[in-house]
Amino acid sequence: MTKSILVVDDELYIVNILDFSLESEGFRVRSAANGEEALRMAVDEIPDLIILDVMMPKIDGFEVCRALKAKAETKQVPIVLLTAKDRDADRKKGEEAGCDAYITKPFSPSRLIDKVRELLGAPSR
Amino acid sequence: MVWRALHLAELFSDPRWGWVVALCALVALFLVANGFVRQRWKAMGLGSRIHARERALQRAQRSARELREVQAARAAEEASAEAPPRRSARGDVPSPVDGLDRHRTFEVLGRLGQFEQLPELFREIVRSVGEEFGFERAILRVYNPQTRLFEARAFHGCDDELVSRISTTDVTLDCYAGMARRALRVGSSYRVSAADDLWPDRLRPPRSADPRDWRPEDFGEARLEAQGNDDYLVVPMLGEEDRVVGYFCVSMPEDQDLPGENTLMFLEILAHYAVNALNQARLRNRLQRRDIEYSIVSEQLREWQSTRDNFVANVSHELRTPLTSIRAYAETLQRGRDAMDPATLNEFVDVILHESERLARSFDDLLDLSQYQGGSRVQVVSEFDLAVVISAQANAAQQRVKELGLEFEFDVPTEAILIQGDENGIRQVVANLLDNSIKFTPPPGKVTLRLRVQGGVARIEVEDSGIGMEEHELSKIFERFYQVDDSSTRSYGGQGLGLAICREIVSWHHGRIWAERRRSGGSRFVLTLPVRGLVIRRSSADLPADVSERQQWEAFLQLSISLISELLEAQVASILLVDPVHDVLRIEAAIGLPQDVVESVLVDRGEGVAGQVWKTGQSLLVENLDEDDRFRGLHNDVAYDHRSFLSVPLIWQGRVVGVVNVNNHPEGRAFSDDDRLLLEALAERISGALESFERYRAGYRRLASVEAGVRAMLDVGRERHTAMRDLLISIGLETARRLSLEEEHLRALAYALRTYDLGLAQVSEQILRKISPLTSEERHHIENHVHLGAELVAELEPSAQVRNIILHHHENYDGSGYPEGLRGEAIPVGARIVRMVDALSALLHDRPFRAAMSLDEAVALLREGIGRRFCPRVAPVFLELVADRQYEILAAHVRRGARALDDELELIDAHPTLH
Repeated sequence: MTKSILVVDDELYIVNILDFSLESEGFRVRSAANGEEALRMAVDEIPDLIILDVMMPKIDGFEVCRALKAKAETKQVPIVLLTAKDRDADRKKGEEAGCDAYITKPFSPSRLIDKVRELLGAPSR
Repeated sequence: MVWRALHLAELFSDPRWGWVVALCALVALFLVANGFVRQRWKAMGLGSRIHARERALQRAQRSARELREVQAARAAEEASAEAPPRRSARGDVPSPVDGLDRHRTFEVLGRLGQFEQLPELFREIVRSVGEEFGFERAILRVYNPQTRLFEARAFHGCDDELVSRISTTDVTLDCYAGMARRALRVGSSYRVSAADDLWPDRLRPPRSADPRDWRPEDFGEARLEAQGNDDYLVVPMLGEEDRVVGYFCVSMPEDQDLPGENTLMFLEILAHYAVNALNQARLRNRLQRRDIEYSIVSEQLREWQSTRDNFVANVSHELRTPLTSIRAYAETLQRGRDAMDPATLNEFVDVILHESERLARSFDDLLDLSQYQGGSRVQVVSEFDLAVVISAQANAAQQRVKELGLEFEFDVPTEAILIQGDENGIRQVVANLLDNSIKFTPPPGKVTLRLRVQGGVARIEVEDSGIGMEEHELSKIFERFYQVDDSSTRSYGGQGLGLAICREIVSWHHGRIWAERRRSGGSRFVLTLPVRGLVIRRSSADLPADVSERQQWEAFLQLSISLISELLEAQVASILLVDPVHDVLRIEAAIGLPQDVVESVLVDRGEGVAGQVWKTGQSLLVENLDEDDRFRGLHNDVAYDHRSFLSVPLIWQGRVVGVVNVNNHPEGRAFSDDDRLLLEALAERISGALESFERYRAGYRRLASVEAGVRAMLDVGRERHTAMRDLLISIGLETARRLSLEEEHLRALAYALRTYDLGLAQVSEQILRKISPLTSEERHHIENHVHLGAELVAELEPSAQVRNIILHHHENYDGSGYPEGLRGEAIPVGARIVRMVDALSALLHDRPFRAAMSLDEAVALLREGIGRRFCPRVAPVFLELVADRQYEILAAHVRRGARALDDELELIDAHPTLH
């Protein structure tokens, strides 16, 4: 069955390239531009995995991550934080928020996809 | 009547009185030391040592009490042995003073020990003097080294009118020296005499004379020989090295007799007591202020550090985002190039190109900022058409905006708007503002760009229907390191830097930039630029060839001109100085005038408006140049769109050294008498600065502090220049006129009304915005703003008046205000007026902890406060004027809200369900 991935980023170009790369790997991709939208979409139709930016207007990625990990229905969904914040303190904050992987920008799309596969239990290429 | 001078030596020669002297001194010193030491140790928080100290003190107290009892018993014995009661020097009438029970004197001293607060202590001292000794009147003055005046602090037996007269009379050191002359000496006090109801305050000896040479004749009607009801005694309060720190002054006793030795001595002990209390209070204040300053500084440091951290995060985010796209697209291209269709491939390459450009732009921004702020940017100044620049920006943005699904509207006039300045800089600012609006407006929003010219100022507005900002963020977003809290970081990512650059560029052009919140959501950025910028005469002055000194001089001219044009809202302003060699006036610096005019204009004495002002030394307010016979045909320069002209002299040491002109109010109205007062007040300050400029030519030390003051003032002016504020200021001035304040006081008030809350700018935003009750430390911070404000203006201040008004504008009539707890007429009348203006203005505006009140509610509240917070003499006049002008106030309220109203209507129009 096709796995669905929710991509959350307010930077249009990033959403597009993730969309392109993931779809060409056979995933179904939906996208949200901010934290509020992400929370709504994640509950409306629970995805198999979420790729989440941190620095976004209103509600940031850490908070979205915390909120989703606190909800019974989304607790199991793996979350990849994809962010320009690369200080140790930020990484720690991400882990505390309950993320399953922390990848810093600039990132390599192929390595991101490897990580996604790993988290979904699918064999990497 | 013969006056017998008493000397302390004589007193000591009598063994009985020697006892009393020694005893009183001992007790006084002990009480003072006790309070002082305890206070001090408490302040230093040395717990265990305090206890040890306290025990020692208690022991000392006990033995002192025992000693006192023995002494008192002995004194009582002596007193009973000495019959009939001691007579005064006059011999026949017993003085109530000398009849004073010596036990009472101890009681008085003991009672004084209970007062920790200075104002109360001073009041108690003069009350005791009056009631215990039967003196009709007593006042206490304290020397303020900053104002160089003896300021009246406590009164006894004076009615309101007298209190008012005494507190508004300046007693200088010279006046004091006139009273404290060897010839008038009695013990360590001075007996001064006047022919009528004159108090020492009225004595104004000729300033030039050497005080040591003054003779009684110098004091007008005051005659040493004329003794009687009008004599009074001046008791100096002497501090370290016998320096005078104040004095109190008592009228002669009711029975017209001179006070006996006993009394004199006791008065001196009281003076000593007051000095010690004063020192103690000053020390306490200094410690407290040091604490406050320390916490302000450390808080600023913290804020600065966190904004700097945010800045680094922000910059790194700005650089990383495009880099992320570039890398992701390039890598995907590399791996999947062969399988891609040509359209996708092209799209990828476009993204890479676009993001590289963005990266380059971010770098440029960073460099620009550092260069503008470091002052090293070589600005290319040229004349260019602003309408063309804006149109080009609009066209460029149009495409992008439409692609994003936003509506775009622009309104730019077709005729040329010529501006002197850095064309690239202005282009950058406009592009930046547009970028921001687009970035923070989700579809299907709308972005609007407008340009219009109004009275010599070009106004550019960029408006959006986006996510908007909180009120308190509006001014902060222009700060270099500013970032709102983390949760919404992204919404301002990149703005922190971009807007800081914008502000640098705009202020370099002498323009203004600010952000407003639209009620319907979204923000409005407004940018105004003078169509003709600031010009400083190139061949300016025979001033130092030294480049840095020259720069200082130009910076001074520039600041002065900015100050004048901002505060008077004049679009044309110029400073002319007298060229003594050629006996002409030359324009040194101007805003709104063409360079060639500035370079070439020479004004002869008596010629035109400025020449008249130079000749007469009087200000000139011309409502309409065309209708005024004196100046018809003159001043036909195109720069003067409006025909109202205001010109005031710069006076230094009684000579006119220059002239300041303003013209063109943006609303097209004529200048008023209020404007005249303000400009005169500013001219006084500019003359003062000119003087210090001359005096410190080598060092220019003061200029830097002058600059800080002016900058703070400009910032406050920019943010708070509203129709409402202007109106309240005008009512404040009118109140002063109705109370018949003198011209000099009016000028000081005009200036103080503009600057009284300068100090607030230094108080942490966090405290000001706080909704919950303040802690005592926070309250201290806020109360400290009156000191900060007074210090900020002090550098620009030739007279002490403005400083005093600002310092005391939070005093309450009943003595419950701060910082000095002054009461009633002792509060400078200007400060009492500012108190009203400030209160009304505060009530009519929203505060974090309550909404704005209606005018009726506000007036009712002010009325309630009469006699407590507000002066019963000032408040009714003020409130009457408010009632007279209520419609104007309501109109200002509406005007302030007009934009908001527009926005609301727009919102209703746009909202489908509201139709």
